[in-house]
Amino acid sequence: MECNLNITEREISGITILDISGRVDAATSSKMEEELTKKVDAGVINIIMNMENLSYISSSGLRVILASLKKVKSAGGKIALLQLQPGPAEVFKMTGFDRLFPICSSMEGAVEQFSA
Amino acid sequence: MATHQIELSDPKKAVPILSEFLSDILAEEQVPFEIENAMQLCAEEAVVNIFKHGYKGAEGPVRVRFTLDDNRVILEIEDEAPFFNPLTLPSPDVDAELDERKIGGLGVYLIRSLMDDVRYQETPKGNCLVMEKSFSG
Repeated sequence: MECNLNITEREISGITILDISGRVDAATSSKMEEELTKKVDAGVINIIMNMENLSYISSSGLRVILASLKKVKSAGGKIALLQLQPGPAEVFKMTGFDRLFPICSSMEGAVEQFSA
Repeated sequence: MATHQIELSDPKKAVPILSEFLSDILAEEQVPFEIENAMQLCAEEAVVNIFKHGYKGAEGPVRVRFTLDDNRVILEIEDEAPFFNPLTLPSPDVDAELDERKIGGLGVYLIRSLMDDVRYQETPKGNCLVMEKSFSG
């Protein structure tokens, strides 16, 4: 079955940007977990997750993002979220995840999160 | 009143099949976006919990019935797993700071938060979770 999640990677000012598109649900969250684990294990601890094209996230996705945040924070890094769409934004708000991550509306704002 | 039903059995395929089933119905019935998102989430969370905890990752029947009655949607999810009322699970602390945050436990919390009414019933064969949400037309 086709996987409804795509993750591509790029870099801006030394920060890894993960462009995430599609759905993060119980069927696809393992793909995101693999990608994030690969990055963190390789020493990447400053990450912007661009969610402009993420239409849906369930608790399976939240679990993966939270586990990654705990890992990068303990290594002195940070994860910022960019352009959360209405569905995922509601889930982040309801679960208090919006207070755990900087949520930015522009790439410039997201990159600035790492300049301090 | 429109009713649609699907039976799932394979835990590996359940989520994409369920998602497509709901997307098709919700588009056909022209349900607002926020209701679609809530329905998708609650159905997924309930079904994933049944396969994971009720059937311990094995195959088993899960029947999902979706009913649209005026401006009210009803999701009924039935299984044949051992009796378990998910509504007895404690709510996670969503105000906790990162260090105190436990990983997991958010599925039932999302269901309770998104739905207007959630009821659990034991059935002769297993469990039934009924979730309702109204919306303005």
